[in-house]
Amino acid sequence: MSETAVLELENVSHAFDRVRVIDEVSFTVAPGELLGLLGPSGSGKTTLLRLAAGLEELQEGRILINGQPVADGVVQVPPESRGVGLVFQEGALFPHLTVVGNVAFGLARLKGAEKRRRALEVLELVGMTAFAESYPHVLSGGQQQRVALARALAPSPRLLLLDEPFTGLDAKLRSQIRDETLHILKDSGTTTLIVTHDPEEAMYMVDRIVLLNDGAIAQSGAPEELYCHPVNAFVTEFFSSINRITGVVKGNSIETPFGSIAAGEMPDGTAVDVLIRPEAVRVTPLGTDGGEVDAVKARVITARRLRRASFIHLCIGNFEGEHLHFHSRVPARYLPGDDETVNVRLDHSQIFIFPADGAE
Amino acid sequence: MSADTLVSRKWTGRGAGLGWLDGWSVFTIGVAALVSVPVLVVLSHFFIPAGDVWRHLAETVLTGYVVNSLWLMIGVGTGTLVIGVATAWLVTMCRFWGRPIFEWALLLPLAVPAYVIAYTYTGLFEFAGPVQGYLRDSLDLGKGDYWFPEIRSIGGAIAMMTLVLYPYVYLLSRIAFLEQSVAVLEVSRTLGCNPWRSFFSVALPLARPGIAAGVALALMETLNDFGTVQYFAVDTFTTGIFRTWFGMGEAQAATQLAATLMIFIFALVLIERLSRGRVRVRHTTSRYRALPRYRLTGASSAAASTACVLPIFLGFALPGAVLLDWTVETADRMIDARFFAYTANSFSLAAIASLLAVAIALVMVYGLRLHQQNKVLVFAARVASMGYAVPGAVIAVGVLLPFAWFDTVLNDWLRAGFDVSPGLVFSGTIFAVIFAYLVRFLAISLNTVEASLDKVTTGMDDASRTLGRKPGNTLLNVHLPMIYGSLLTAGILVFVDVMKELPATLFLRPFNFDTLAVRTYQLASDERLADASSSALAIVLVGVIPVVLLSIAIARSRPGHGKG
Repeated sequence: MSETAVLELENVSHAFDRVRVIDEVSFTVAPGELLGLLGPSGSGKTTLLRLAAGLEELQEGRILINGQPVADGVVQVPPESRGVGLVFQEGALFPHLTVVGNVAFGLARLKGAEKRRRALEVLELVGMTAFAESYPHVLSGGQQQRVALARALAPSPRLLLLDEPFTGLDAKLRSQIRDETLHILKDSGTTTLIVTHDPEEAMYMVDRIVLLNDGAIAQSGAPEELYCHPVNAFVTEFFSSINRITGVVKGNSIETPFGSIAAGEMPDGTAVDVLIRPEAVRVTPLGTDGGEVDAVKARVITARRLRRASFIHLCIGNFEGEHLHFHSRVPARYLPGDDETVNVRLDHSQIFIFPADGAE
Repeated sequence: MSADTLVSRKWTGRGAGLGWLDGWSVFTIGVAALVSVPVLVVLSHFFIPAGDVWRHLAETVLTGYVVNSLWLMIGVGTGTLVIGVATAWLVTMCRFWGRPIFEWALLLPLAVPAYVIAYTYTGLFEFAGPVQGYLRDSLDLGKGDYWFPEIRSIGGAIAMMTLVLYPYVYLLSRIAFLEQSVAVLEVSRTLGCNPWRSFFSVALPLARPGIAAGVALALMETLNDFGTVQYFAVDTFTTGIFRTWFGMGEAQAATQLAATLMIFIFALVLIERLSRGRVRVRHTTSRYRALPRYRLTGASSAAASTACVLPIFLGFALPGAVLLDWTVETADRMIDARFFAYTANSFSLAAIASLLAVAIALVMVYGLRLHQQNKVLVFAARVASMGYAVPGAVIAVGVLLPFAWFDTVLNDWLRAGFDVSPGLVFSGTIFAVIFAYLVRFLAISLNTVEASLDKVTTGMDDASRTLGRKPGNTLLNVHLPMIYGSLLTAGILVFVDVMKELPATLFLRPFNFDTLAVRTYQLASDERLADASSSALAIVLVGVIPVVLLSIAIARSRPGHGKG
């Protein structure tokens, strides 16, 4: 590797009250990279971020910043000497300081006028100059988050850590601030580690995702890689709701209500889960779109129009006496009526087959 | 900034060892160790073989001390319980004439030290006082023609202490009543309890831990009292310690008396803990509303008002008025340069002690926070706050012994080595007095500072640290400005307690260094009650400040009231 990683975690493990919450986690953040630490709540992502910041004392493994060990069991560099910036979910602005006072707090090395100039410069970046002399309690949630970002950016940290920074905001504001933040971070080339539980947020914000499950890395890579080539059922299901069919491999394929599906190299007799994303379930009205080839018939239970797509609840019957409840997501123009019979086809490039739960 | 220059090397590898030992934790443990010295010194004497003096004391006066102390505890315990709980229940659960005023005014007697109210009532009710004089004149009676209760008796002492100590019970049971969910009380009503029955079968049991804590505090103050019992000639441990040490010059026997008194205190603390621990009351619902108070009218309203007026009148208004009257009367003689010198002494002692108490508490509480409630440090903090249960006279003995020993050793060593003798360095100096105050009152500042620092979210610490500030810098620039108001409150509480403190000051003060409390005590001992009034009034006036602060704080903190 030509460039030294800004942050490097090597086999980091951590326990609270003897309960292991992080298990041998290793990853790196390259200069200028936006890395997303993604996972359900309780997967250990915030603990990893606090270990990187030095707010939690390392128990096992090694952490390096710019190639220098900051925590390795002998050395434990305190957070104030690590040169990392941190933005919290709740902002954590100092209530007794003005906005500019908050931003200048981390600029102790600069003198009076220079300090103020730099603070205002960063406030300009987040569009909060007009509120420089206000106190945090008069600001809205979104404004507080902007100031918190400015405060963390002001000392030009080697590494910026964001801990669920948009969670406290309402949906519309969230996407706006998310967008602004992305541009500020990309423009300034700030190396960033962002912790989130929201896959959409991660995919929107970051260059690379490290997905955690139960304190261990489930998969890491570019967002589209995790989405299109998930390595197991957990990763597949984490990014969207999923249709699941259980089956058994027989002659390299699996029988489903949609006909047989290729099982790849799994041996005969393997119990498997077939996972199908709703957008891979194509729904068309009867008598259109190339007739009935490859299609099965289904009854529409109900259909709802969402913002960008229609969400259709389907009942697919006549398969060994069982009825399957399937979800489909189709482009928003099409909205079938309740109880209508429709043609259903699968997009085989978005079907994932894994050994059934417990058989892994 | 290169990382390796700023590395803190841990003592052991994996965080489980002694890595938490740094300036903050060493300070906390050090303070706890120092503060526990007086208590340990006194307790250690319990195991030293008793001498002749002790045997003599045990045969003659000890039974009297125990009996008197028990009677005082029973009397004051019952009195404060009845007055405190009754007034607290009335002002929280009922609506009647004057209730909003009584709510805070009932705390006022807290400002009056027991010995001050004792002097005032003696002046009023003794044979030569205005009350008996008026009765004799108007009824044309002579000496011995009538019976009048003797104020200077154990009964009088119980009355005096009850009048100024009931606010402890009032305060804590009132908070306990306020915290009770209205729904629970209303359910008891719909289940067929009338107001009286729902008070005795629901409200009172739920409030029991608070009430028990209040009574325990009142009883600790009862055992701590020196001025009242000394003046009323009711012999208890505190007067016994004083007489044995200074009158008989028997330090060893006095310390053993102090150790015996400590057993009383431990029993008290233990009983309080047990009564709280056995039945753990958990409020099952968090729904609070402004309490729908029973509206009292006519006779019941008048009765309720009277029940609240009486303790305020007897415990504060009457003695306050008498003190004011005497002060005006004696002003030309008594308010002179010496009075201001005593005031200056009192104020400077109180200021130094409260500043130190708050600063030490701040460092200790912040150290606990940094080390995330490390068990050793939590224990150290608890040790550092146990002095509040220990009577001032006991602490004084526990401070005098080691300090005197220290001075002797120091003088011997300096004389042998350098041919100089510095005299008293620790004992008999302001240093000893301040140290005793810290031992006794550190708990107040610790509790107040801890409560306010707990309200600052840990996100503040994390933000400051990642912005490059060290722990000490963070404390100064983030926490200190945020909890400034509470620090002031903590300081004032300690300040006032120091102003009122009598036994430890009397034992430990440097020669010819008198405070307002000491001056009050001395003048009263010389039967110059009116002359003592100006010093006493000054103490009471300062004592009113925390009462005001306290009532404001209570009004704000009520669940379901004001802004969430």
